[in-house]
Amino acid sequence: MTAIEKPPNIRDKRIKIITGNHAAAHALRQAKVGVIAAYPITPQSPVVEKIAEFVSKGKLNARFVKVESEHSALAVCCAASATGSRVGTATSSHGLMLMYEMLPWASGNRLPIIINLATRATGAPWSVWTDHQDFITIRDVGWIQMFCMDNQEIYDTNLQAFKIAEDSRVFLPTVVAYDGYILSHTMMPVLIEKQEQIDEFLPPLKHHINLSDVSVVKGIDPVTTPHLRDRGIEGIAPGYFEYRYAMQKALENSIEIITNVHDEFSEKFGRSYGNGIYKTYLAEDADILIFAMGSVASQARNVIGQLRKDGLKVGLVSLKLFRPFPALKLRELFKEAKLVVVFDRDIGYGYEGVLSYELKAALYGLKHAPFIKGFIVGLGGRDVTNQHITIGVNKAIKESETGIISHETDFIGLKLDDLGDYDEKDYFKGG
Amino acid sequence: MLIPILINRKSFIAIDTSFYVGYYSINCEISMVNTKKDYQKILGSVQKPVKGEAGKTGTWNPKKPIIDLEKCIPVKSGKPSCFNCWLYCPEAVVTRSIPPEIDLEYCKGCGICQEECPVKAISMKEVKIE
Amino acid sequence: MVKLMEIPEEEYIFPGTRACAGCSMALIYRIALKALGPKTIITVPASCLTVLHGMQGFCTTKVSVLHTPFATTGASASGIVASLEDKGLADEINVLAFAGDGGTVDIGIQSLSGAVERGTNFIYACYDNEAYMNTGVQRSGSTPHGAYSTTTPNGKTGYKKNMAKILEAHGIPYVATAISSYPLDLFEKFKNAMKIKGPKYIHILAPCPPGWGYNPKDSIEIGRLAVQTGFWPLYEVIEGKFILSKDSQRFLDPTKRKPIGEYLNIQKRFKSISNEDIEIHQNYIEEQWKQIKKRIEND
Repeated sequence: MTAIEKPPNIRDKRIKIITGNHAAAHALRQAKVGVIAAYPITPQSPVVEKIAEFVSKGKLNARFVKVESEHSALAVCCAASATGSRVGTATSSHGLMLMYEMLPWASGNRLPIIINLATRATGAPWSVWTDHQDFITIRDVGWIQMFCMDNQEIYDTNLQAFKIAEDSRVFLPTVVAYDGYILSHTMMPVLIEKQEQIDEFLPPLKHHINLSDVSVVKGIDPVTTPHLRDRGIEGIAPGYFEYRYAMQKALENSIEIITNVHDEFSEKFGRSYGNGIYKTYLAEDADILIFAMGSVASQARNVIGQLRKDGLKVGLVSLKLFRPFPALKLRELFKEAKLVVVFDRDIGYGYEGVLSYELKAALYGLKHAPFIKGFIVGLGGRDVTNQHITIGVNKAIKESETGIISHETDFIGLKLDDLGDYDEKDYFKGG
Repeated sequence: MLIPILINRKSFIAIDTSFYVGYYSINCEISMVNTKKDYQKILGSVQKPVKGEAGKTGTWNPKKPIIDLEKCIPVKSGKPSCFNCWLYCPEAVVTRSIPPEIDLEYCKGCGICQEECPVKAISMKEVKIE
Repeated sequence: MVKLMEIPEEEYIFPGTRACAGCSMALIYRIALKALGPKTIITVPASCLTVLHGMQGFCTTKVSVLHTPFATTGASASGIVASLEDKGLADEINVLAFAGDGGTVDIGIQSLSGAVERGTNFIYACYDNEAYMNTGVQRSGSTPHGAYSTTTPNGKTGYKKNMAKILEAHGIPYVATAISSYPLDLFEKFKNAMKIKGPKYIHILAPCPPGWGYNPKDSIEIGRLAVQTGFWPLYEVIEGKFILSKDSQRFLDPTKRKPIGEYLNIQKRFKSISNEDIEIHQNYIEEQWKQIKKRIEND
């Protein structure tokens, strides 16, 4: 799905065959982060190990704080960012859940922190395999969230993320996510750019806080009231409502900056990812569009060819930018479609797959809104196969013909029949 | 009961007969930031230092410490000495001067200086602050 | 021992803060900032100190402060130090973490332990008013036996976590106990800490008028009683060497120690205390001083 305008020469010495985790580590190294605070968790641990290797070999001149928990990891990153350093970290699943208290802290203080998220299912029960639940769980805290489909994209998105997050019109923390094991532990060719080129693209950080400059006395992040605070000639301070309004508007406005940075990157380095917000494959003339993220989109791409041969005009839209949710762009994209089949590797428990219902909300009120059918696939790392995608598309077509939109979730890939007469009550009895 | 007073074409002040003043705009949108670009002037919650952040804390207690200069040790000796009142004040309202001066606008009247003065030169008396 | 006139005159806190009248923490903070000077960055979790610092838009200190969530003081200080080291400013700028007993002994203990284990170069000062005072006097791990709190209305059972000992076990170069009532001793301890590189911990008892139940004017006297009864020994442990502070030295002699009842009975939070409870306190104090004596003899 990476539209490479100029395919790299396979003998190009800049290409390394590395895992997604190592691609993220290389990007953090080349972005010249000042402070990294990370805690190991499967499947992200190799990121932390690679960073430690870079630091010990002198290839990365950063302070690597080996924290004692993820909660502390993000606390260290917030404090280091407020003091004026560029910061990055990595985590997964329960690590992200443990960081949760600090997530709105980072976005509320407008700190440009980058988290690399190797997605992993959340317990209970324990699972180390991938799904997108951890990624979508944090969608309301005010972070920019992007999803990657291959290791080159992980490397490129990290570099773009720093530039976006540190833009003075944005100043928001960012999550760069990629599927655990599927990308994090799989080796792919990744072109590691020359440091001078990266330095041209990514200027040094100009932080709006910068406590290290002790000549300016600042109190950061005190208790605020619902009201403005007016002390006459001493000044007037916004209330909580205004701070949060500013954060929301910055998120809304960042879509423009995300597309600009993406275009600037592809102009300079010759690689692009759709328009920086979503990528399409054979979507221009499609009646049926598949909508998915990450590994699910990668899998769906394999099936498009066969489905087209079978006579269905199917195309694929792979979402890269999840937050801020690009509702206007998606409305534009889907306005001619007749059917959208959404595959969610996550679920908004008690409701539907998150991509499914967010898309439905985004297309609300469209004059000829497409029929939208969502499926839940691949939770806890259950393989998403070509067969699953095909079954989903065909089922969606059947349902669209009835015209009735179902709000009950439809799981593809369950193996309930193979369970036989499993009953937990009897599980512990007998031999 | 609300009495509306028009101030310009877009908004009016409404004065309630119980003297609550509210600000309503005809578009029913109360917003201090109207243009798309204004939000960029607000970032994180920041503070700058001021005196009297909690207001004039001298109003917390009408009783204030008054120093009897005839008993005060540094005044009697003419040399820097004692200064317990300066040392133990939690509010930093006592100066380490001869005589020590207490900022009655911000003194909360806790009485620690009276307790710690070794010669009982300080007494808490009701003082009217202008 | 430092003399009063050696303490800088300059104040780093503006008057007119939201602290209670007679607040010991306000005095401790004032003395600490005088010791640290203007090139300091302070990190403060949710605590009474957050309120002293002022609310939105306007603060009360002449040095920068980073407010941080409750559990993260140690980590926040680590982050500031890491960033300063990255910028090459770590030798010029002091980093002070100033937290209450709740934020140190209970919820903050993990991040503090992690920060000192990593050898972070900062001073961690815990001001101990022996309960969650900011939220209305709920018990903490630092509340002493028999004390009333809203969550232990019949008096807390079980003893104070000995944070100074816990930090000593981490093997850090400087651990000290102090109290607001002996400000010269407190100032000297901060100055001693500043001379050392690595993690430094100072545990400071801070009598609280509304929380402990006494007239604000007695804040200094109550603290003195805590030391004079032997309840709160003042000491330093520098590179593992135990040094009993000057103001506590005469209380090595048990006959010089005032009975603990004198300290407990003037605080309303101990009004329902029984004779057994007083005995438990007295025995604990005797035991504590026996160990102090042994340490001094061994060193």
